[in-house]
Order: sequence, then structure tokens, then C-alpha cells
Amino acid sequence: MRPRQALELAGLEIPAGVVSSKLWDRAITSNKSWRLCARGSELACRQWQGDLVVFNPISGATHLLDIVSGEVFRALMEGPAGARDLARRIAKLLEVDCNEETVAAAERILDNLDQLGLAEPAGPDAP
Amino acid sequence: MTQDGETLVRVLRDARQVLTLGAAQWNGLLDCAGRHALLARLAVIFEESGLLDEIPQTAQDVLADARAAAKANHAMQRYEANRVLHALRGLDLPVVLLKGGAYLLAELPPSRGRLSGDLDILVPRDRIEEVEQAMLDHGWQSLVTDGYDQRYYREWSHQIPPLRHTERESELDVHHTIAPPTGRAAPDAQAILRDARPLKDDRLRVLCPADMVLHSAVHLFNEQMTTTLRELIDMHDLLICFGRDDAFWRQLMAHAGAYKMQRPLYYCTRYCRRFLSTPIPQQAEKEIEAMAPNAVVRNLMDWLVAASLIHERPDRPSHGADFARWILFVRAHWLRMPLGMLIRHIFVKTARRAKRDPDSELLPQP
Amino acid sequence: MILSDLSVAALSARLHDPGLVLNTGAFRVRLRSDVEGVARELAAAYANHRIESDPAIHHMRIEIRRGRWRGFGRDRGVVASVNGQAILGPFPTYLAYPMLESIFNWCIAKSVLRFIVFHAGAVERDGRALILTGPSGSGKSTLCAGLSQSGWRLISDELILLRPGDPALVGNPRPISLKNEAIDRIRDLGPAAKFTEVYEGTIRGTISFLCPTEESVARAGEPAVPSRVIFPSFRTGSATEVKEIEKAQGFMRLIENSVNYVTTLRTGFEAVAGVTDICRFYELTFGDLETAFAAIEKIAEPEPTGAGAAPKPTGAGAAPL
Repeated sequence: MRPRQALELAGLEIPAGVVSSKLWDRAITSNKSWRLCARGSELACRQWQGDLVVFNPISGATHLLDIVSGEVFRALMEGPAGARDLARRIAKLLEVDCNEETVAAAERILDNLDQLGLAEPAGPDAP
Repeated sequence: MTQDGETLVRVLRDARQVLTLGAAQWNGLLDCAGRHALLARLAVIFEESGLLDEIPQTAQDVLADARAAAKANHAMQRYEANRVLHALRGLDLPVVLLKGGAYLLAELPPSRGRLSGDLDILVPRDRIEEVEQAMLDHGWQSLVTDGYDQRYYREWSHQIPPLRHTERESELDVHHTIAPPTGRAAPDAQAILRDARPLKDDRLRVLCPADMVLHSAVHLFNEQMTTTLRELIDMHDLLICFGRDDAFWRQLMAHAGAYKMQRPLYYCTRYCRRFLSTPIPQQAEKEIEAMAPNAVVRNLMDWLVAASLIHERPDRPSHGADFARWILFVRAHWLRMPLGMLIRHIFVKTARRAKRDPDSELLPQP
Repeated sequence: MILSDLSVAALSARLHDPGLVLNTGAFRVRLRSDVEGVARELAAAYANHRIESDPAIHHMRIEIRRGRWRGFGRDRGVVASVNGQAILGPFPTYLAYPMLESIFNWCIAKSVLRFIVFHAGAVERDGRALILTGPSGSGKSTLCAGLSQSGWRLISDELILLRPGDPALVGNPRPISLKNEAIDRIRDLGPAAKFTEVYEGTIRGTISFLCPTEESVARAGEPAVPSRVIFPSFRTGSATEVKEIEKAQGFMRLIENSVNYVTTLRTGFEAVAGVTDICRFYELTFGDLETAFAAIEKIAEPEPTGAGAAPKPTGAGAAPL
């Protein structure tokens, strides 16, 4: 399976041709580290048949994460990670090569998790 | 004050009083506490006194619901603070939390069982436009679209028009000082910001103890006069919590003088003591006594506060309490702006009010 | 003492003052009314329910009172208040009883947080409960009413109460509100089905309330463990179809139908996750009741022994990660 197909199957739309050059630029210029906003006992998640359901104690919201987003989330549960590390996890999960598309996908997922108050930038430029 | 109101105040002063209540009094107490958003507060003080298991099961159920509602409200407030920081990321600006949000994030006693509708923050006046723009960029929008109201806020208020988040529907008030510029109070916003104390998360701050008490007093006795019992309890908790430190009282007197907030401070300590038996050290009491108004005004305020503190039936308000609240409303606004402005303001507001017909969407329709 | 021990006149006097404290299973609700006819309807709808002797502490107080005089020959209407606060009215006097039921629901949805409350119906047989949930018009009340007339115990309808911890559904059997054609469909099931008056011209059309069976009311105190969650959807003329859906999807659909899930925070999450672990989820499309009931009986069948009482969660499963 080609990466694009795999990502599309995983519910991640990648516009043809563009390959989110902006996202890609960001990804190669900064492999900044990300972490989960909620750490500790109040964060709860369950997995049934691959899909991950997460309770975010900070927002009080519950999210259903598809298999790829769920993999990124699980990776962050183990500790802070950058988009490129996460892209490697995605590639391994989907059995595809790690390239600009998987990094762009990881960036997009991180952006999504940031909007939902689930993840935030870590490290020196952390807020 | 009616019987249920007296029972409520009695129980708030001494939780063990609840053990003497019969079923009918319990119903009255729960009703009255519900009207004043104090059910969760009751749950907390019963728990702290180890009484929760001794009260009747049905009352426990009602209090458990209120407790859970307060817990959710607290989670919501924490998240709002989190989202404000998210929106202000990169602005390099300390955010000072005010009122409910401050009590909660600083883990101060008034936060126990306290419900808060909106988040209030204080930022430096010269950066308020940046802050407002950042909020508008992150999903908040101005609640005030009306040109007149917008002008009113910008010219006469100590905050920008309230913002509401389009998805979460939460309200955010961004202030540049702690009292309206038109009132008698003259807070020094720069000094207040300088005195603010950082929290564990050092992007967030709260007012220093003296300013926090004064802000609450100004809000209670110069601005709105609604849910006053709730706010009187805030004051009571703060005075007990900070009052153990002598330096607090010295700073309180100094700031009250510097910011011309002696009168609200006088009222706040007077009614805290009268209704909630708040302990005030003798020396402080003597100094505060010197801030008293003349006897006529004092007697009038005593009557107004007693009449408006406990509102019995919002659907059938007693004329006395209604009148008292109206006077306090006028008084609050008179303190904020010149008389000519007040007349114009009230007139415009009234003309507008009639056009809107607030109706609950939640309710079932026949 | 149960409600039918009182004459309608005695009931009426109690409703005037100090109010009737009705025990619906999970709630003690004080009802007060000076509106004629309310006593008669309550006597029909809640005949088997327990009433508490005063003075009693109540969870909530609902009052339906006559409105202000509006001139000769005109309906004064009635107004409603909850815990002493006016909330609604005036509305037509003949709708006093249905409005009382709506306001009771509103009270539960708005203020109860010790249970996770779902917009759903639930029935139980042999210790296994079915949850039927979905939007208004999906046919869940009709199915619930039908099942409650054919060997299933009604746990609750319209709003069901999930107690965190076990997790278990708490009994709160109240009259089931049926609309339009559903009233006759349930009447057709047999003479055992007892109804209140029929109310025409409400916002939902014609409605009537089916009284819960004596057994349902008597066993209201028994909690029930859910084993199936069904999302029905009624479509005129449609064939009956059943489709099992994945648990994570089921979880999300279940919380979409909760009125207070978001407010119950982690407690709610754990409770619904507990339900998800032990339940299987099904979509049920139906056009007629007979085949729908047959399909539900099939869905409800326990797994063959050996496979375990509940399907094993896959992946990381029941354990939090």
C-alpha cells in the first residue's frame, strides 16, 4: 500500500499535489517537541477494536480517535515526542515508508490535538 | 429576612445547626440555598464538619447533585483559563485572574462549592487591544454589537465589552482595572498589576490579598447587588483566610486609602460580621470604623442590605426587597457615572429592555 | 401506602396542601396543584406508586397552579413552578397533566447529576437490561411500551438513570408518553395496557400515557445491569433490519444521547465505559412492531455459555491504558 492510500484509509485527507508544503516546511525546520496537556490520573482512555476513546480532564470533553490519531496519542502518553518521531510511529503502524506525507500527517494530528486541548508544545518554546 | 433565609444563614454560620432541622425546614433550607446558588457550598461545609452521613438521604442526594455541578463548573473554569493562555501564547503577557477564577486556581477558600458563570481577567491597559484581537482570532466574539453599548463600555467601564466563545459559549470579561473609572474609587491599575502574585503556573497571577478583598468589596457594594449572600460569603472566607496575618490588615488599610475604597471596605466588614460573624481584629475594626458614613446613610444601608440579601421568591418578589434592590442598582450606577450619564443610561437601557423577550429555550412547550 | 389507597377527593385535597410526595423509584417529588383533573389523571397514571407520608423531604417540588383571571369565558390557563421558581406558563388548562410530566423530565435532565441520564428507555428480563436510545421519533418509547406489555419489566422510559460504579440502571418507572398512531398500536396488544386520557393538539400531536405495569412499579427498587444497547429508527414501510456496530462507535452514540454526560466528567466516562465493556450495540431499522419485537428478542438472547456472559473486549480492552 502506498502512503497516500494508507493515510486516506486512515481518514486523513491529503490534498493532491500540495502535500501541505507549509506543513512540510514547518516539519523540517522545527522538530519541536510535543507533550500531552493532561498528565496524571485524571486522564482516561479506553480502546475497543482499535479505536481509542479519550476523556480529556482539562476540557471535560470525550474524543474518539481513529487508529492513526490514537497511535500518536499513545506515543505521547509514553513521553514528549516530535512530529518526525511520531511520523515514524505512524509509518510503522501502517507499514509504509516514512516520508513527507507521514510527517505532514503527524503535524496535522498534533495541530488537531492542540486545538482540542489534548497536546501542547513542550520544551524551551513551550508556553 | 424570612424563616428559610434565617435557617440558611444560621446553618452557614454553624453547620451543626442542621442536625436540629425537621423535614419541612429541610425543604425550606434546600429551596433557599438553591435560589442563592449555595447548595454546593452547604455540601462542602457539611463534609468539612463530618456531617454528610448524618443528614437525611434525600437531602444528601440533592447536595450530591449540586456538588457534582460545582465540580463540572470548576473544570469548565479551569479549561477556560487554559484556553485563554492558549490564545495568548506568544504574547508574553501575565494574565491576572479575578474573582471566581482566581479563587479557584489559587485554591482559596471561597472556591469551595462556588459556581461561576464567566471568567474575568485583568491585563495592562496598553495591551488590551492586542489581547482582544488574540481572543477574536481564537473563536471569541463580542457579545455587544450595539453601537451605544460598545461606546458605553469603552468610555465608562473598566472592561472591554464581554466576549463569548462561539463553540463553548463561555463568557470572558477582560478588565484593565478593578473599578469603573467613573466611580469614586481610584485604583492604580499599574500598582495593582505589579502587586499581583504568580500562581504555580507562572503565566497566571492573582491579585495580592488586600487588592483581592477590595475588588470583591467594590464589586459587592458599588456594582451589582444580586446574589449578594454568595458574595458576602466570598468576603467572609477571604477575611478569615488572609486575616491571620497582621501584615494583611496593614496592607488592606493602606490600599483602601490609596485607592479610595474605604466605604466599600467599611460595608463589607460590617455586613460580614453582622450576618456571618466574621472575626475582625480590634485594631483593624477601629480603623475601619473611621471609614463609616453618617448615621442616616448607615441606617439606610443596613435596611437595604438586610432586605436584599435573601430574596425569597424571585417570581413573586416582596415589594420591600424589590425596592431595596432597585435603590441599590441606582446607587451602584450612580457611583459609576455622572448623574446626567446615569439618566441617559437608564433611559436607553429601559427602552431597549422592552424590545427583547428573554424566554427559556430549554423548557417544554405545550 | 400506594396512591390507589387514596380516593380522588382525598388526593385532590393533598395536592392542594401540603402536596403529594410521590416516590417514583429514584425520586421523591412533591406535587402541588389546584387544577381540577390533575388528581384524576395522577390516580390513573401512578395507581401503584408509593406515596410518602408528610412531613417528608423531597428531591424536587413541582407546582401547577391556575393562572390569573383573564375575563369571562376565557381559559385562565395554568402556570408551573419548580422549587418555588416560576418556570412556565400560562398554558392551556387541559394540558396540566402532560405538562406536569414534561416538567418532571425537565427537572431530572437539568439538575440530576448523581446518575448519568440518557434520553432513552430501558426494560429488563432475567436480570438483563436493554437500553433503547435515539432521537425523538425513533420509536424507542413505542418499543419500550410494547416490551413492557410482553414480559419485560419497565425500568424507565424517556430518561434512564445510570448509577456509576456498578454500572447499573436505576428503576424509575413512570407513565410512558406515546404519540399519535403508537397509542393504538400499543392498545392493540391487549386489554392489560392502561392509559390516561388522550391529549390532542400538543406540540407533538396527540399523546397519551401508558401506565407502568404493577410488577414494574413493585420492582422499581431493583437495579438492572445492561447487556444490549439498541439504536432504533422507525421508517414507515421499511423492512426490519439489524446491524451490530463497533463498541467505540456505540460509546460515542450513547453519550450523544445523554443529557448530562458532559457535566459528569470522569465519573460519566468510567460509567459509560463500563456499560460499553459489557454491552453489545445494535442499530435497528423497523417499519412494523411485530418483526421489530422478534428482532429485539433475537438481539437479547444471551451468548451461548462458554463464550462468556459478555463478549470479550478486544485490544487493550477493559483495562485503562
